[in-house]
Amino acid sequence: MSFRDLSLTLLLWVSSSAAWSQEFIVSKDLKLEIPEPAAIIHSGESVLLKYSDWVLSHTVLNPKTFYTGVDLTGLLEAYIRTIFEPEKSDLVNWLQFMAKEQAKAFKLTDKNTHKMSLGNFTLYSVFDSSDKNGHIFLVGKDYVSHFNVLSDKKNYLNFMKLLKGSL
Amino acid sequence: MDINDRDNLKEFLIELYGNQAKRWAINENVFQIVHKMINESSACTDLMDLVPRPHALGKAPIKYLTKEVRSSVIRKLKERKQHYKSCMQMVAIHYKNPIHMAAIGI
Repeated sequence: MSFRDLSLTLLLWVSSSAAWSQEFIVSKDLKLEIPEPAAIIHSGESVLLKYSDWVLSHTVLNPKTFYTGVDLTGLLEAYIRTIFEPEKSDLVNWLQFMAKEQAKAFKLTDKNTHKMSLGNFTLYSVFDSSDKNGHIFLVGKDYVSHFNVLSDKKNYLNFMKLLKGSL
Repeated sequence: MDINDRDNLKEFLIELYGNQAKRWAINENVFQIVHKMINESSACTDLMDLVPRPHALGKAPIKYLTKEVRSSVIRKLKERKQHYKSCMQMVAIHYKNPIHMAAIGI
């Protein structure tokens, strides 16, 4: 699936029969039944869903624009893995250094991260309680989905549960 | 924030986040998040040297920084935007949505 196809898929919204939820089609592999948001905001390559007390965004990461000046084409999946599992990385040293800095920016600790296999994906997540800011990466074979949850831990965990139940 | 601060900060944010930042309304909440980003970017320590210490913990920087200090931080961001873009790229990803929400007033 090309990056363009994924971006188009991302924008497909199908109302479900239940008034309180909608089907959010992220890709052919991932369809989420999510509560109806108060607002939907488009921002660059992301879609943001605004609820009364939390915000969810989704982006299919573009290896050419994840960082300016660094093209991660062919390396993005390994790079995201390196952020969470540096000891298993075989990336070149400078990319490992960048991943370490990114882990620091996400405020990764042993206690606030999570890794699991979900269908064809590996899920990596981190929740920064001080900023109420959680990042969830679904690393597939040829693309990476990024969810960002701005909320307290309860909403973050509820979304994680929803995600796990959908794959 | 005066119009110069707003324009300078927007110019830096466009450099950091691309064209989407052109539509953002720069306000005090946006500045506060940028200040936090500078604070958390270990490679940008020269910029934090402009800010008098001790930093007032728990107090919004917009309240304790004088207008002159705030303006000089923002001006420096704009003048050396390539440098600060490099050292803030990692934290920029962490704070992208909070900045965006602040910039559209949500």
